[in-house]
Amino acid sequence: MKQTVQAPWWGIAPWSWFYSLRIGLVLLVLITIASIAGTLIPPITGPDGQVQLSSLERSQRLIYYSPWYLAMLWLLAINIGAATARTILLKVIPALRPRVPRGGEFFAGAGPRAEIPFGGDPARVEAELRRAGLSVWREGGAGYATRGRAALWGAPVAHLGMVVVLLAGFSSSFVAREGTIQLVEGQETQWMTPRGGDGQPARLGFTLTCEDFDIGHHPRTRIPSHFISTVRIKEPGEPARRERVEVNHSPAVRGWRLHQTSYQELNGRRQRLALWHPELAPTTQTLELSAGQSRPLSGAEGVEVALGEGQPPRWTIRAGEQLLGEGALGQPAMHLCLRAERFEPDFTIDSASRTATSRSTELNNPALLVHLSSGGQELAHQWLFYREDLKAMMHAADGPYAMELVEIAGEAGERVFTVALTERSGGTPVGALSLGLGREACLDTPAAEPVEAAGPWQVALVEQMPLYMTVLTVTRNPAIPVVYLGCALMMLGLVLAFAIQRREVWFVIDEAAGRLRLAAAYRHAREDFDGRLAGALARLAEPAAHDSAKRDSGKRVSSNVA
Amino acid sequence: MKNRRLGDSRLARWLLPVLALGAALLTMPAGAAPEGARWKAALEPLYGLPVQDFGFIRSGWTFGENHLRTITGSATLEGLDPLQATLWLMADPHARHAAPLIKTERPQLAEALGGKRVSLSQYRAPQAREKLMALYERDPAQWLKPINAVENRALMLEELEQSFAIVPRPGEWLSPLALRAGDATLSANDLRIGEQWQALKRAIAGDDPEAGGRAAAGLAEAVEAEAQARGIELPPLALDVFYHRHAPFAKSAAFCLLAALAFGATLLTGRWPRQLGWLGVGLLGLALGEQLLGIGLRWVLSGRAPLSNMYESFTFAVAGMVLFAILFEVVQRNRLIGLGGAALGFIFMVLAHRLPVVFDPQIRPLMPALQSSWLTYHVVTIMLSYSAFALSCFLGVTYLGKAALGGDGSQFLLARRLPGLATLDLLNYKVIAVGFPLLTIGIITGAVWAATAWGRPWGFDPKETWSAITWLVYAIYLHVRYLGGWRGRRAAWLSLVGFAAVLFTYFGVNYLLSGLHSYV
Repeated sequence: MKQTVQAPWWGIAPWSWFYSLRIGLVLLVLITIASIAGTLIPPITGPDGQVQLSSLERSQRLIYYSPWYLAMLWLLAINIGAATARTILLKVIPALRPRVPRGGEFFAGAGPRAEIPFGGDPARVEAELRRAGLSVWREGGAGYATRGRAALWGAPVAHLGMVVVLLAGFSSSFVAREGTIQLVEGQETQWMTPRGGDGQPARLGFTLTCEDFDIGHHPRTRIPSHFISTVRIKEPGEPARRERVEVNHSPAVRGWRLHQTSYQELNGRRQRLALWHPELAPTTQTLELSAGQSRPLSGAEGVEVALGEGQPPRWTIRAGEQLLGEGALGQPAMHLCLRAERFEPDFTIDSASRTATSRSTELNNPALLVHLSSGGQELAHQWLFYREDLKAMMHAADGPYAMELVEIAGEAGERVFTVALTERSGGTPVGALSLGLGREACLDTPAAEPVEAAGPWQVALVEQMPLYMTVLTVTRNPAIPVVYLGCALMMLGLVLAFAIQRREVWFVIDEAAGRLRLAAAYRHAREDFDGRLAGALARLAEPAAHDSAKRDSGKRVSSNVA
Repeated sequence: MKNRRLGDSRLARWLLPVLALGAALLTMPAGAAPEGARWKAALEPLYGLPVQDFGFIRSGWTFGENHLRTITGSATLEGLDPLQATLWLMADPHARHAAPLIKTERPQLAEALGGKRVSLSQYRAPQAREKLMALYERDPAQWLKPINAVENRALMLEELEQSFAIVPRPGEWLSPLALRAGDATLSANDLRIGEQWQALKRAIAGDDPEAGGRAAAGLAEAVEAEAQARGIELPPLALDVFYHRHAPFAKSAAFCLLAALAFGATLLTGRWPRQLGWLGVGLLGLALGEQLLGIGLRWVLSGRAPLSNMYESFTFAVAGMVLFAILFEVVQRNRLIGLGGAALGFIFMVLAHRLPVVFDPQIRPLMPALQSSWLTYHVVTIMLSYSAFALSCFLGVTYLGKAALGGDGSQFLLARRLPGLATLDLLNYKVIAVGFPLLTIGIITGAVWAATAWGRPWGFDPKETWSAITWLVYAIYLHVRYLGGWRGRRAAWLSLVGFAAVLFTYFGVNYLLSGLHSYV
């Protein structure tokens, strides 16, 4: 009895390591274990509880972008590539030119088998198999039939796609560039801060101006409905164009993609101004400016409008060094509403969750969370502290109104809080509001008249808006289309491999014994013949009354014979 | 032999009565306590009253259910339906403060506050606060979240009337409390809304359904008139009410249970395989119909594909699993996969409604990152793959169970009734062969979406990494099975490892790890 001894995996020829399934599986298992470990790495936190290095950044440094992890991916790509090439050369291409059995060798490893009495013409077997949808190759009384050979390409194409994705991923680390841009509304830049670099800015090759940042919320929620940056892009030699950058909508500029990543609300307000001049700007123009900014006035060459840092904000209009006009903006009348959202009698910040809570129910460090709004627009949302020593330190210094928690009356559950409001610009008291927890109280502030300088320029404040800084990510990765190509190949390969049923049939007619032996192999290991083959067998088992198949297939059979 | 007789006779004898009882339960209208029933007709116009809640215009019923479920953990209160209960709480401030309504959830919290549900007065009492503080100081990391959750429920109860935004406005609607007498900007409809709301509260407080009915009708008319006058288009709120009254997901669970009984009976007894098999398939078809009806209604009501949170993706996965079970059952006809789809469908839908902390059934508005058509392609393919893997897990467990009981030659009746080990192994492979390409497409669509939104197809975010780990496990399964010859027990164990990876990707990452996917 012949025995074969299988060599251990380390005993196989070195060149076969490249395509070895075992080595491929070992690599897959190692990559899986390393990937799991990467997700479990905790962040590094400082003594103050602040996260210094997130778990994702740590796992990227320690594992995912480490040389040993990348080396495993390289080896996997080589293994898959070599195995794919071998499969194509040794299995797929030979299968395109099938050999007709000359004995029983092709029956080894087949699934369902049958043996029936058969004394007819071999062409009848061929005709029945063709009728069952198979392509047939016959030599005399032996033959091979198959269907769904495209499935043979499935695994190689899917694996090739995987290799392409891996290679595109590797090349990304050399060709991809990424950086961030932080722009306050009205600000322009030609630079970005590259990611993972030494912090030195890099030139973009075009000028980017953030004209506007708009954020909206779904009604009666704090869930944002959108945040959109409207940017002006000026490429050298091209007219300026305006683009909208938002999540899931990333415009392209000179090979870069601009992505809306996040935003930050800043101290200060943004003023929408209306300007007109009987000669230079006869129609009213509107401009949005924040404190300390200047912008050119369209239609009046060389004329710039600037807004000062002080309170009340002062505007100036200049043509070069020449002052054309200046003045101070007035303040509109406001309907201010204050809501008491939360009260902590002994305020503290939990170090683990970084959220506010109370140490006890005693009024040791009372703090009230308030929301100040005007016309539905949020002006402030902050904690107000009762202890004098904490007021200066903890109270936010932004927004048009300073707030102070001046009195806490009543017992727990029925407390009434009094909050005093002062105009931050001039320090003018606005009034005091008393309210319970979860309640809202409102008051009206009078309008302040604008101060205008002499001259033909007229400037009026139309609206005050919150001031935002938009955070954009700029990316350039020429390898992404290659990743997509790899993904498309993988999907195509999987469709071919799993959606197409491949079947093979071998038959031999033993004329001496008057029997037909038939065996089939299915891609997905069926136990029985499928319906079509079972039908063909049943018909072949019947005595042939008239052999029409012989007439039909004679020419085709001869052309297929090897 | 004794076992066989037991199985054959008893199951067959009580199967039909159980099926009949299930069918009766499905068709029986939900009962209401006499108190609720007395007010039901009077408040009928308010069930479909437009209320702005969580970013959407929803019905009065939804407003009530969202709030009542969050505060108390239940959609009913002392025989009152959600709308009746919330109206009662808004009309009666004393009840709002004195009734034990606030769910405390954990036993230690219940002990500290004085019950599983406590009143606002109890919760705000200094002694209760002291006990909460003591708990918090003992282990801040453990107790901060649960204490905050109770605090939020208390605030929601306190501000119930402020949240009742029924006065139509462009943008944010107003609560009737915000209508101030003498405000010259108010319309005649606004004033009528204010008047009718006060009249309704008086009627509820005085337990006068007749007056309440008049006020409710007037209130509904005034709200709709104001919405029309302001050009605000109202969604089809009749569908919203139908969604709650019909409860398609509950019906789907019931049909799944009945289908599981039918498949289980024919598997165990070996009797009426054809009849009970088709009955099971039919019941699974009804379950799928109800599941799709629920998903469709949520789609219409939210105006987007309902795939944006755990509840929505989970119900979609159950629909996918039932669909696969039907398809495999029709093709393979071995009753086991039908039983698996039906039993898991029932268990999953019960879990979806018994674990509100994990599966929040409220329809929430989408945040900007999720406002993309890629959400649909990505989630649909991923969840369908999870559906297939759940069935695979069931088949793997069945394989191992049967193997442990002695395999094909087992002496146990149950093991003998199950399909052969080779069939189970092959079925498991086929189900994975459906799930694996879907998972691949899901990961690819996710990568394309990430490249569109953030400029990077892959960033090793924990969810991405774990989906890749899941993919790798099933890739290993396919390779060792097809090329390495792994069959039977080892392949079954590997399919279980794969499903464990699925569970960690779906649940574990959301709750144990943080990343870009933590909002879903």
